[in-house]
Amino acid sequence: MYNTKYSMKYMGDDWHVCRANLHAHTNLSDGTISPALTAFLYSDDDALALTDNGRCQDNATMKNALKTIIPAVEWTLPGPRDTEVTLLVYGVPEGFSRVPSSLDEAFGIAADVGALCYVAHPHRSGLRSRELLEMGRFDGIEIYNAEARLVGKEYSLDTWDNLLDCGMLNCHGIATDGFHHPRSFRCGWTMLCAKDDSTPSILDALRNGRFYSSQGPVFHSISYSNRHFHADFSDAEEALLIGNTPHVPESCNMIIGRVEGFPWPGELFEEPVREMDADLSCWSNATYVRCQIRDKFGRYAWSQPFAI
Amino acid sequence: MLYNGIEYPVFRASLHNHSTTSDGSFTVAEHARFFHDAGYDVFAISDHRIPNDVSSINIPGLTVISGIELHPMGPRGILWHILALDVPKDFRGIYDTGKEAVDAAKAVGALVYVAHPRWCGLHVEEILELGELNGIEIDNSGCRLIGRAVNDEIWDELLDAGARPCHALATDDSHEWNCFAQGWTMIAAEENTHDCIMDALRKGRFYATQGPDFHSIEFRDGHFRATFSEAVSAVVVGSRGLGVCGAMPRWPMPGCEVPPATSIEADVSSWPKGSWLRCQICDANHHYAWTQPFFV
Repeated sequence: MYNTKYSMKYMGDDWHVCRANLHAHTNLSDGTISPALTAFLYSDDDALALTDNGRCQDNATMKNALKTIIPAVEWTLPGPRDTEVTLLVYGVPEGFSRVPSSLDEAFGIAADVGALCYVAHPHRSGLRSRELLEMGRFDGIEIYNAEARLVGKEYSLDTWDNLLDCGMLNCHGIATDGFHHPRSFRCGWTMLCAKDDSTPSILDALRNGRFYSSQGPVFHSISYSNRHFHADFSDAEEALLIGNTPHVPESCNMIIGRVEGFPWPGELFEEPVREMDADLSCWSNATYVRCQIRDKFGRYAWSQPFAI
Repeated sequence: MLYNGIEYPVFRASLHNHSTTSDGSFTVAEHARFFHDAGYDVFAISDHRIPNDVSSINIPGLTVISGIELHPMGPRGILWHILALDVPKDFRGIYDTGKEAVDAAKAVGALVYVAHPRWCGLHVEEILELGELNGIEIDNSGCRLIGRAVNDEIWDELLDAGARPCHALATDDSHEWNCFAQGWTMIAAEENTHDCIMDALRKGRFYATQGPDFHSIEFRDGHFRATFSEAVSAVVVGSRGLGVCGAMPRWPMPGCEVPPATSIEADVSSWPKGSWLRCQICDANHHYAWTQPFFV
């Protein structure tokens, strides 16, 4: 059912695509199954990041199960208003076990070792957009974390758009299982356009936003150039281009795409939509655009934002 | 439905609509008739900056509420969209600040909500500066056209910040046909009269929905219980990582569906005193319904 032999056109170039789950815990921290079993569960994927709390695992024993184990770690640190900020850090050295005591220290360590930092499940953590803006220094957020379905806070799309709207245009959005237990297996993943399945190639794709996030739908091509956006994708019931809030004058009051029940309530389209092709010249004051699609099962996929 | 053990009739309400008085496509009377004919029991007209005299709208079985949407300048150049329900026909529609508008609406006894905060791009701190409100829109179907219909994240941020009562409406923000009967509010009131409807809204005795129905809602002695139409997910949501999952698809993919749920029970007696909870359900059509918040 899951064909990992993906390729796609990204910004006009053909790319090999790696499917990765970028957030998984084992019983070495607060997950429920062993690293070996976790790797086996994800053996259909091209890459897996084991983000156990506080320590990047030594992945030698799992490398036969999966093509690539991305060296990663999760840090949970004090945040504003007694919140906890959970950071997913990718590209740390294997066996890395330094645990920072503050966010400043965490971002400093990550920068020192050249790692990428993502804020995990901001909605679930109770983090506000303005606090994230003040924090800065991270490469993106989880826009979907399947494990957070258990508390009804699996999406952080509003936060993502707030950050983008406020100028954080390099804030990428990843979808993950947030795997702790098999109940959250294969719910959300990241599709990276990488040269090959090696860790450096995957991290390069992540760093440059050359990926999309998905709960199921597939993008076959994505391109943006000179205010023209184009994407081809698997059958979708809804497809939208989303940009700045309408308070940016003449930015995105123009509806581009197809939405359930529009223009007539209850309207059912006979054919799914498979393409988005849009001229954004009218979005003269917008600063970003991203594409969001939804299939007939209610599953979403999201492109990364493009700066306009 | 049963609401905290008391049986109430439930009335379907559309609480955010625009007519030809401002930028809608239909007159107030036409709009009210459309909603009545579609099975609605309560209709609020809420034109931009201009109140309407609804005394002449007389459709048996339909309670018509005079509302208004106010647009003083807000933070960062964002216009406020403040929905006030139950204003007099001579209510002033222009204010310099959001706080002034909110205070003026409250002074005449209106209920006050921030419309589509996500569409506006508002931050929670900015909404808190308005002072005490009745709540926000959790769902504004007009905003689905730009992918910003649901406002659950900011609702949770407001509840975390202590905003009370912090209710949430589902509305169409109807201007024309493309935003009609996509989101509504179900009000549990003794009868379908103006006073009973407004009383129920003020007390939070309603739920917001895009389609699913709650049949009963009860929160008593630290226990929450609800029954509802078939749902593929049902969660009692609390502050930050608090929550109780009643039903969740194990694998959201074809062939792995689980039987739908029709009830949820949650013991939240161990949650911190004063913390909040709300229940949200989602049906097989990916439509949500939300109870109003309760407080431990």
